[in-house]
Parts: sequence; structure tokens; C-alpha cells
Amino acid sequence: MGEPAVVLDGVTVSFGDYTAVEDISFTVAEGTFLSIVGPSGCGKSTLLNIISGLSTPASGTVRNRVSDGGRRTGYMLQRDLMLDWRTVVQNVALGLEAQGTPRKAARAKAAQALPAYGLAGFESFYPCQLSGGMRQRAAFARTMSTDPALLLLDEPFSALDYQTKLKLEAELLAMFRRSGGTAIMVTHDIDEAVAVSDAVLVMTGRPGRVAALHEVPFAAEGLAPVEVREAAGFGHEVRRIWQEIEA
Amino acid sequence: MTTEPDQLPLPAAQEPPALAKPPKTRRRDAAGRRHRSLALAITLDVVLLVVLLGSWQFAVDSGSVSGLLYGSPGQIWHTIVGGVESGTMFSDAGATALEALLGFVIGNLIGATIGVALWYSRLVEQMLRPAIAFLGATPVAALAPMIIVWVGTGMISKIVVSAASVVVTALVLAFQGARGTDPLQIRLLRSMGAPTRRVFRLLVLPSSLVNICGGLRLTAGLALVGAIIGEFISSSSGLGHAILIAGSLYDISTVLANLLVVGLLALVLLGAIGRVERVILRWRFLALSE
Repeated sequence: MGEPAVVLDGVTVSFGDYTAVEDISFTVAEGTFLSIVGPSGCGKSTLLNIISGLSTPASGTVRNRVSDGGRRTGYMLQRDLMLDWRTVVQNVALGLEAQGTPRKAARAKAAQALPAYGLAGFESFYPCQLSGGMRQRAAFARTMSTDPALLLLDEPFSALDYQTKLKLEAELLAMFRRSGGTAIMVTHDIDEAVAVSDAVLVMTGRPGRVAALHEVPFAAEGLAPVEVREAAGFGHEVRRIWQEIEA
Repeated sequence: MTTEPDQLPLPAAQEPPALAKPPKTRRRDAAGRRHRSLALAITLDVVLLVVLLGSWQFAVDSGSVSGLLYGSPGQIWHTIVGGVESGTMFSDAGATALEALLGFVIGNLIGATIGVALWYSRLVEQMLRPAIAFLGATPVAALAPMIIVWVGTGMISKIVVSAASVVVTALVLAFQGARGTDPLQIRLLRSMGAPTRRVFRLLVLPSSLVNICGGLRLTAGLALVGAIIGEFISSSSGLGHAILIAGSLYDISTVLANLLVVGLLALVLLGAIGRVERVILRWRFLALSE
């Protein structure tokens, strides 16, 4: 599919004496959805910071061809980071306003996007009036509004209830496919990783190292995350990854 | 999504006498309980007030309490009526109100502007920190004589004293609001391509204003106190002036009468601010989800 979007080669990151991740090498092809799983504290979020350029590695190289090419990166964190004083449509418009789009145009565009994210009718609501799932939907809409070529997601659904999580996973996948970009998601949930991604990077604990990198066929087959969990081979894949993490 | 009822429910319209009145049902819900408890509180307040004023007046009339030293409700009423008839009550109240209002607005504007500007420069903030702490700790009553000397004895000086009472608090509130901006939110905006000035306009500035609004009740009170202190030091009109003169003449009833008006002024001001708050900080008054 051409040049890879992100390449890490021998990356080691330390904070003072503490080595967060050691000798990490992997490639993310453009247009793929990669999940990173591993035990707590293995440095998954650190990797996202490295890829986004927020931190620099002590050794090794990072190549982010998306940001090198001047294209946008979109972020979704566990916290929705909605602004209390803005309504839903105003919050979703924030991405465009941040880029310099005039307020009126940004809000008009945001208003148009809301139905696609299940937010129709909630334009004038404030974040404090919404459930966690709705807020993450709005955060998602805000993230996608800037047309990012690369999506970096740090446990975006881990604070949500199971049903909402499944729904949002499906919506994320659908939007992602439509956008044609690349995505890297950090998650605790192995089920989620296997259901949604094209590939799963398995890390082991402190300091974080790459245990394995698996290609995963389920999402590519176009199955919804709920159905995927029923598919043949799904449980096997999940168990395999679980054992690799535990090892 | 219902809004929290923050006022008493309006009384039902009167039925025309020809139709039968529906039976009065006693509301059992939370709103009904609140209504009844508020009604009880008001009733008790009125009763207590009547008892207090009654016994005070009685004590003065019977001679056991000196009317000269402690005033009496009758005298206070007399003074108020006299002040209203002669118009001095209105001119005094008006003067103090104007000084406090302008001091409030100016003090908040200046304080807020400096406060958010300090966000921009860490260096300037650290340079100014001792000065701000110093000014904040200095009681306005100590600054007022100096201000009067510099600015003169006209209304402007009272406005300045009033603003001076407000400015440091407004500054600190604005600065805290700016600095308290969630760093993740700042990072998010930057990642979306916003340069610092846009981060400031979209995120930091609103965040500070929200904080300032939260402090408006406090600064309103400070502004009023500042205006009155300014009048104490030097003035020819205003409620503080009236209190000072009456106090020096041992006319306690007049002092109390004017104090009453000051209190009423404060209530009006706070009521207005409450309305402003409901508009600017409207999301705080909405029912939360789940």
C-alpha cells in the first residue's frame, strides 16, 4: 500500500533512571488500524507520545510520515476534554475553530456532522447534561472534524459501559474506513483490539518490549465488532494474545 | 431534562366563582416540601423580627434601654421616612450605589485583564507575584487616605477606592482561572493546530471568565465596602458619609437606618449578579445527567 505511515526503529524511552520502553521496532502501514495491548505500565501511552512527537526517544528513530507530510493527527483520550461552557455543537466545532475556521462556518459544519455520530437533537446540550458515552461521541466528532490522516487513540472507550463501548467501536471502525486514514489505538481490552484492528502489537511489561505483532483478519472482513466476537477463531486469537502478555 | 426549580411555583390562577374549585391537594414531592419549609422559615423570620423589634421598642419606651445609645425601631422608621421625604436617602443611596457599581466594574475589568495577561508570561507573573501579594494583604482602609490625597475628594476617589478593593481579588481569580486550565485541553487544542493566541482565545480566556464570574458576588461585596470606606475618609454625600456624620453626633438611629439601606443595596446588587450568573454560567444551573 505504499510507504508506511509510521515507523519505529529501536526506540528506547527513559524518564531519568526509569526505562519506560526498550528497543521497540514496528511499522504501521498507511490505511491500517493498529492496536497496542499490554499490561499496565508497559509504556503503551508512551509510545503514542513518541509517535505524536510529544516525547523524544533516548535512542532509536521514529518516523511519522503523516505529520512530516503536514497532515493532521487526531487524538482521542479516555477523557473527552469537553469544554464545560460550550454546547455540544460548539465543542465539536472546536477542532475547526482551532484551525482558524471562523466561528459561524465551524459551527455550521459541526451541526451537519452531529447526526452521523448519533448526536442529532443534542446540539444545544452542555457536556454536564450528557452521559459518558455521548460525551465520547462528541469528542469523536470533534476529532474527525479536522479530517485527520492519523488517529491516535488512548483507551478511548475504557471508561464506558460494555454496550456503549461496542456501539462506539462499530462507529469508530465505520468512520475510520470511510476516512481512509491510519489509526493507532492503545487499549487494555484484548477483545476490543482483536475485533476492531487490522493488526495487534503485543507488549510485555516493564520495561515495555514488543512480544509479538499479529495481523488480525476480522475487522477487514467487514464484520461489526459485536458479530466479530462470535466469529470462528476470535476466542483463539484473544487467548493467544492473552498468553503472550502473561508470559 | 428539567431545570431545577429555583423559585417558588407561581400560585394557581383564581377560578371564576361559577365553577367549582378543585380540591386542594397537598404536594408530596420534593418541590412541595421545599415550598413548605421555605414558607415556614419566612413565617418564623417575620415572627422573630416582630418579637425583636417589639421588645426593643418596648425596652426603649420603658426606659430600661437608652434610646440615645442604641436607637429604637420607631426612630429608625422615623429617620427613613424623613430621608425619603426629603430625598436625601435616595441621593445618598444613589451616590454610594454608583460609586460601588463603577468600582465593581472597573476593578473587575482591570483585575481580569492583568490576571489573564499574566498567563502569557511566566516571568512577568513571577516578577509581579510579591507586589500582588502585598497589595492583596493591605487593607483598603489603609490605602484609602492616600488615594483621597492623590485623586481628590470628589466621587472619582470613592470609585478608585472601591475599584482598589476589587482589583486584587479579581486579578487572582482571573489568573487562577487561566492557570487552572486543563493542560490536556491545552495540548488538545495545540494538536488541532491552534497557535498560542488561539489557545488563549478559545480556552484560557473563557476559563478565566468563568472563574471571575464565580467571584462576582465576592467582588460586589468588596466594592460596596470600598465605596463606604472611601466615604468615611472624605465625602460630602453617600450612605457612608451619612453614617459617619450620624455616628459622630451619636445619632444611632440614623446610623442604623443608613446601614439598613446599605444592606438593601447589597441585596439588590447580589440579586442582579445572580441573574448575570444564571446567564453566563448557565450550564451550572442545569440538571446533571444521571
